[in-house]
Amino acid sequence: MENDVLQIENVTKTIKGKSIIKGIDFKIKAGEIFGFLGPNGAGKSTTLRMIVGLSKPTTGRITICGHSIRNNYISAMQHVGCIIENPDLYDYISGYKNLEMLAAMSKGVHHDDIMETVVNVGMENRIYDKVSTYSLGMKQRLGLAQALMHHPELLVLDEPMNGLDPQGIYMFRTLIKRLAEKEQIAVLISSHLISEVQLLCDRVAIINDGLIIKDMPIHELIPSSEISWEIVELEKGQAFLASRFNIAALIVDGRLKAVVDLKELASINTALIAAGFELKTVSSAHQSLESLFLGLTGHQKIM
Amino acid sequence: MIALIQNEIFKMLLKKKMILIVVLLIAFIGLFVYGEQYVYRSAVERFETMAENGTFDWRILTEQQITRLNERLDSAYIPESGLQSIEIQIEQLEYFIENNINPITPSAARFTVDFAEQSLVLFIPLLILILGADLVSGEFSKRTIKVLLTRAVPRWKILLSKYIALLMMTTLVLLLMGLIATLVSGIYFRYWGFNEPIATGFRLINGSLDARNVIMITRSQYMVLIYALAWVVSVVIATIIMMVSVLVKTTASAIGIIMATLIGGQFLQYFLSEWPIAKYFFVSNLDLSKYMTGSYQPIEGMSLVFSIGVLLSWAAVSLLISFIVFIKEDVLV
Repeated sequence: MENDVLQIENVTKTIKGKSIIKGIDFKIKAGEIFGFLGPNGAGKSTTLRMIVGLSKPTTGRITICGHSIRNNYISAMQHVGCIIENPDLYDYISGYKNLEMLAAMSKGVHHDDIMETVVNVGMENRIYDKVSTYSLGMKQRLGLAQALMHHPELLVLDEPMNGLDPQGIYMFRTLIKRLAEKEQIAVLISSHLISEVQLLCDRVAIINDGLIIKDMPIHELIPSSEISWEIVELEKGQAFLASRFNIAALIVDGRLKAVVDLKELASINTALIAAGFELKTVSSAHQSLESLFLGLTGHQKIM
Repeated sequence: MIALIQNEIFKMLLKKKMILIVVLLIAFIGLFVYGEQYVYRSAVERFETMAENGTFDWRILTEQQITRLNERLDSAYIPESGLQSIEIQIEQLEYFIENNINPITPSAARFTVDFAEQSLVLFIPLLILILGADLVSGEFSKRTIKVLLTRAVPRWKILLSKYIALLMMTTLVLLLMGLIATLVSGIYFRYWGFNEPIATGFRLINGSLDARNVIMITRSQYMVLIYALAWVVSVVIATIIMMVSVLVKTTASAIGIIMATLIGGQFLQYFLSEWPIAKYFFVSNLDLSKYMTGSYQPIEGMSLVFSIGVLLSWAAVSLLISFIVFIKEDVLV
């Protein structure tokens, strides 16, 4: 399809006689944020490395913007930006010099493109300092800058939130969402944290033991969640939810708790406020990856 | 491609390796210059106290050397092969006297050549090791290989740019070595000696020195010749270092392997005449300069052409292995 930025067809990978990836297929459209969810050792990182050219598939096809990475490596890789695991850059030179050196390896990336990206990731104040003086959060931002400065159509991020502080995670999430929406970049994010994927992704594939066991829009995968509302008038609220939304909420520890469809959550909250309830907090109990796996596979243990 | 080479040279320069190399060169050259001058001064002093007229004459000193060597020839403890080498030395010294070439007074031109000859088998390879040990292994141990190999550049171009950068820096090191050696020794000895003649082109025929093809060239021409040979050796060493750097994933093991090979290879020299395979090892062939002056112990089947052939074969195979491994391997760091 024209619209598919990334196509993975029947890809397998065998390393030292051990089958790591056992035949996976998925597609990512322009502007889509795709979560790649799985426990450690499931094959997430191996798959991502094959997409960005660090490793070669044993069999199968990987196509980026219509170019096969096997037959047309250069054209395919022009459209890819990535951070694989940690954003490792040369620490004995400045962040800017790092970007300048990497920019020289892509066609048509100039000082203006570099600086624009640097401002985008919020690194303009420290960019001329040596990388060895950066905190992990700053290195992560610099890593994002090197992945974005050549205006890729596919952004591949391997566990990008590792080591980021809450502010960094927020900035990161906002930036990724903006890139996907405004510039129609397709984003592939691997993670072992379900909450992260839930907050960011449009679509999610769950990989376990080298196989994709589920590939669906996020709201279908996690349709409902246990929500708790902290409001002043608990009984009144309970009655309101029952009459208006047909939700049987319980009162636990001074909070209203109920399992609701996440698509409806926003309208429920709006209605509560409109009805004059003093809504202090709303929180959702995150479903763990383990329980999700249990539901999907029936296996007790993650392999 | 030019941008890639620039990047690689930039990385080498910013790791401050050239500063280290220049410091090492100045330190060692200074030490050697001082040592050579010291030995020369004591030889002159010895001569002046022994000789009746009290003035120094290199001819007499050279003739004394010949006499000493002749005495050693009569010694029963020197093996057959050792005798040959002494005979060659005597013949050469006689040649110097006949043709009015002063082999004793140190000059900048002679020192610069001697220094290159002495450092050919160990010091020059170690300097190149400083430059190239982390060429690829450093990118792996620092994990920066991931940003390097996820650009829209084929892997062979990345390795080629690294190779060209290493060769350029190696050439620069040799030029710096020649320059520093000439300047330091010239200033210290106050004698340049570029136009002194030197005899080269000695051939070994049936173990004895054949002087029929000997040509007289100036010291400066000879300097260019020796540094050209040193460059060939350096290119081969650089290529082998690159291969090791591609094959191992840490810089420390790359340095260890190359050092062990260079030093272990020196031991192999002792078996050269008995064990034919030893002469196909690259370390046995590094000292190309020995073929130029005829002052060496001949080994059956080894010649300048043979040694260059062996070295270039090693370089070609190393280059092939480096590129195949670098292009094929999965990056899992």
